[in-house]
Amino acid sequence: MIDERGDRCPGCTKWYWYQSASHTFTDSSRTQSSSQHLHSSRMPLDTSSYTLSQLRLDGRRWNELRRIHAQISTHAAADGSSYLEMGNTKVVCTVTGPAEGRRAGGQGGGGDVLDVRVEIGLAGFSGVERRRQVRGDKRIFEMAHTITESLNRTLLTNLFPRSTLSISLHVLSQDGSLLAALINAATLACVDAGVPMKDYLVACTAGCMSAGAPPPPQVKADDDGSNDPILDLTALEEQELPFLTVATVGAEDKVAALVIESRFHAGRLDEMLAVGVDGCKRVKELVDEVMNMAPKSRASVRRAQLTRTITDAFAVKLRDLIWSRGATATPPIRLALVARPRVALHCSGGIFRLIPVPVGGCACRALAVGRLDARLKGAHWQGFGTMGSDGRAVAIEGGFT
Amino acid sequence: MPTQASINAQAQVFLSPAELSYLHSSLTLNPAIRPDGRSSTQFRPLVAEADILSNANGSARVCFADGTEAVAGVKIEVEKTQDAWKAADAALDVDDGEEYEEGRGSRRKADLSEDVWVETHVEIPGYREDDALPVFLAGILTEALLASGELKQRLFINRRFHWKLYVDILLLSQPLSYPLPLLSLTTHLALLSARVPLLISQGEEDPLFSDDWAAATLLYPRTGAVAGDKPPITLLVVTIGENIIFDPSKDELAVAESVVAVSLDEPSISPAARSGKQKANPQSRRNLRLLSLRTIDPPSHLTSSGVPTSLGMETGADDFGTAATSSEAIVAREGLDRGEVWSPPRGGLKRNMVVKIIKECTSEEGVGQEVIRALAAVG
Repeated sequence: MIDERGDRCPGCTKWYWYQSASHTFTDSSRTQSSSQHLHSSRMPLDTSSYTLSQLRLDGRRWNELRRIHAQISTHAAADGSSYLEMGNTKVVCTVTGPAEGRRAGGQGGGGDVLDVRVEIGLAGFSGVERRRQVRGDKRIFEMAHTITESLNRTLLTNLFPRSTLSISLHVLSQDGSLLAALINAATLACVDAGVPMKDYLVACTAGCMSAGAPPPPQVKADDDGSNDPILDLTALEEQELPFLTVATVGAEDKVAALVIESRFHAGRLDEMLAVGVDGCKRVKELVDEVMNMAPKSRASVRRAQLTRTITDAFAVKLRDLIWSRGATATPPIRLALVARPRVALHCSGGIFRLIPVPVGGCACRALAVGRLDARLKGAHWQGFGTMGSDGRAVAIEGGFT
Repeated sequence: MPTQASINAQAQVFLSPAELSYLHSSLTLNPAIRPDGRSSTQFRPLVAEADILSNANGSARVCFADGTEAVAGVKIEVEKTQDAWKAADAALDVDDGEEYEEGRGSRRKADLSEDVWVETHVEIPGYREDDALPVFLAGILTEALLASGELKQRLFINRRFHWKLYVDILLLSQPLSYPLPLLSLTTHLALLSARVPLLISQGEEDPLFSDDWAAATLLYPRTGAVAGDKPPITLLVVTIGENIIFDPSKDELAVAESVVAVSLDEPSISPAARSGKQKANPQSRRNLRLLSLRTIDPPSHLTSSGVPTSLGMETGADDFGTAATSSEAIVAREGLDRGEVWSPPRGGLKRNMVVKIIKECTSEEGVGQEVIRALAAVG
């Protein structure tokens, strides 16, 4: 269908390419614009595979992410810190804790699980116009709530009873996808702080070019792709188009948070969600790269910290378990990381080998229950975990029915 | 005019009287022996970068050695002057735009420009924006910015419009030591990199600006007719005994006898001086101008004093014993020689120390000039 034709520019000796008018399903005006040779600017864009008209304002295609640049361990004074750029959206995150709750009194840090506190600060100079953040801004509050809730479900909060994790996020520059950038930055900083989590919590936005219209019943031949959902919106696009922010846990299709602040046809949700989740997978890959790029010594220290946290928590749980069954003496418990993807538990000679499977994997659970039952009647395991080959931590937890 | 301000909240001291005494005595030596081996005028290494944000007119990030870090952003917006027709303009005979240019005009600009055109906000994590510390810090910084009057004159566009300058400073870390010098140096860098769109309208017309950002002018121009002056810096100086110590660390603040915030700036070269000997070498170092000097309540006031063995252990330990004993102990402590055990300083700053501080800060080979030179290299 696409007829490519080389032509010589009358103004110079360079050859340029454009999509010819025989591209039947594009209307004439579009073909006109795409075939214009912008001689004055620079080398003509190679539009042989993609029409110029389908590019977005900043030159991206519909499913392209903006440049993501991130760093961890950026602040020496914080327990964990990160700096993240998604295009022109720039966010700094610092994490303090997990530590004993600072605030005395009834509230804060008194619970059975880690108390995650998120604070978002919008710098006055972050937008196009200078705007001071109003105290009690509902939109900011909702963002903080979304981040808190989704982190509560992703971090292994049960490992840190009576402690507080304060996450403070600073927005230096806003250009769309703010919530997504905040979530990604918070995840990076939490990893940097050595807080065990099931998997990376990653987020991105997806929008839709046609707001109110239902999706076509089937893809027509003349669908030129202008109604496509688009990925990773900028501030300009967010103003014009309906969009949603989606966060997933790792590269799986598990949605951890979905925030929709605009109206669109319900039929569009599926495709937007699909594009968003797909974007999250790519963000996850980028986050992985950031982790690998982090200074090796620091990363290995973090890994060791993670391992220690996991094994310590495991040992404590196990000891509680044994004591609660009325044992007179605690059997020696030693936990060791045999190889990176495996955690081996030595418990009075009995070895529990934890196989690297996703959280709550049946095989793992069955194995552990079988072995523990030999010593302690009625033990059950709620979930298991290990250090994945990519350095991620998964849950370990024990208890009785 | 010295103003007292509390610094206590963030600078809790967890040192015993014996440790404080040790620190104090080594810092009173001549030359002072500092815990990290620096000389008394030496600064800790810092990381600084300027012009980091595209959304702000000017921006900077400074990271101190103790891990505290700040980001400052400068936003400059056109604003309509509220009381443009105030009493001052009765004295003005406005018929063309020429009067603002040189000589006579600059005096009028000074008459017409107002302090409210510069707004500074400091954000510190864990503090409300109306808490004492951020408000006080913003106050010191604004005062230094406005002191010379040159900045607000530069914000003057015409009698109906002016630039409004917003300086927003974010402290990204907890305030481990008193954050004033950090915030001030960050602001200095951000203002140095701040640009204003080129004005293409003239005189009393509605202001119109060039779309070309490349043509934008620096708020503090480095070359040309009005070059010279630099944004102010505020340094924290500590006196211990007869010693003056710059860039105090947390431990040094804990034993400081007095803490002084000194605001300085480099004044622009007057046209007369420029035509004279200064012209030969415009890069020559100049004396800095002292803008303000404030004493700050040092955290050492909150430390508990040591009890010498001569007073007896039971008096020290049994502070809440019989009233007679404890008051006796207090009376006995009052008469003690300072050198024997640690006792919190009673405050006050000797006049000769003030002179010494000013001289150290403002002289052309002094610390202030050194800091300004170092920051100029960042941009």
